[in-house]
Amino acid sequence: MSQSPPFKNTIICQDCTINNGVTIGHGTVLHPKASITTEHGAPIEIGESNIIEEFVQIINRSKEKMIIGSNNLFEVGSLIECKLIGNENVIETKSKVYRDVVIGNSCVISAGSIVPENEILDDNTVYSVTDRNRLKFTSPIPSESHMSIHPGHLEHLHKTLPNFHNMKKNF
Amino acid sequence: MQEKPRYYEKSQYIETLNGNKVSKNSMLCGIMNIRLHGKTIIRPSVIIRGDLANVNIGRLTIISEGTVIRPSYKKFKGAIMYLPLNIGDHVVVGEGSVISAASIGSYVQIGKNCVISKRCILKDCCVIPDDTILAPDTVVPPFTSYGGNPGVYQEDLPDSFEQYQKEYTTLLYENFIPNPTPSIPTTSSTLKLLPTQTSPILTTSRTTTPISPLSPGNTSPPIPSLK
Repeated sequence: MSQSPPFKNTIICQDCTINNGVTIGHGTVLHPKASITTEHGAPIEIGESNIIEEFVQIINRSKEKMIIGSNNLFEVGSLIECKLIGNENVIETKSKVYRDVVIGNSCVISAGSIVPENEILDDNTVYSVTDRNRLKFTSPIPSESHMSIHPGHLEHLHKTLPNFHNMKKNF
Repeated sequence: MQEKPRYYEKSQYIETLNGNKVSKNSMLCGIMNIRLHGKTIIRPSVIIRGDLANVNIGRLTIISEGTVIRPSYKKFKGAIMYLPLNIGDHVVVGEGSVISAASIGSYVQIGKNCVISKRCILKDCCVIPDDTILAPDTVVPPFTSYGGNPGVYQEDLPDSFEQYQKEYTTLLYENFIPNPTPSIPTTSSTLKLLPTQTSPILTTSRTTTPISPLSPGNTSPPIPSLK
């Protein structure tokens, strides 16, 4: 069967808000109530096989192009305003990534943490803000575990979501 | 224990035979997989993802605004499996929380803006204070309070917590009552509001246009029309 993503079609549930100028690659899944908006009409480019969950806000506040790579996972309620995101990143629940942040490949941003402006996360960075301290170190383990699950997760969502949701037509 | 009555518009809620009160503005995906056992209140803009896995919600459970209840997943024999989510009786969930636990027991209080991460297990009688973030696979034992980021043990709860939570949820449910005033005045007020809302756009009524230059920013459309 369809073992290897990318899948042909993108899944976009009906309750998402998507502005003009947003391009979404093949196989990306948008859960309901996700929103991808631009403030000044600058384009947003989203790669293949991403998962964008509920209440995720991807906002382009700058006047330049915003690029998001492939195989990323944006969990519930996260806010993304940064210009450049690489591949295979995990941005966990309720975390906030502000403007002018650059995220490389295979980074993990933990739940509830806030990435301040002008922060640069190189490849394999784990970024976490807790009550006591702010952690920033490099480790490939979290993203490896993410990538071991991600294709199966996508496949599951591609199978089940169309049965329950009305899809937005291709644009 | 006293609680102020909380009124709701009857037209905005669906009441089932079991006494469930579900807001029409909430979003229940995959309704056939969601089971409400009665006397449950679901407030507006709640999302319950029944399409991913079964969701069971017990009696006298209150789920506040903006909460997302989504079953968690686990890698199982190479494939992804979403685990069913069970929530017990007498549970209060605060506003803006994200719950993807594997199971939540009875008599549990969860505060505002909490994150209960994947596959957490909350046993009976526990408290999660506001702004807590529980790491994945955390098990919260009975009669304890887990708080902070990441959520750790804070204190023990008294034995009377079960009784307290029972009374608290029944009070909340009983005080969640439909608006006593009939809905006619509210509709008339909206009718009165509508012309004033449309008038700045049309710029027909002269009573509104002199005000708009004084208040900058917000009423930008009328200004060009004046010039």
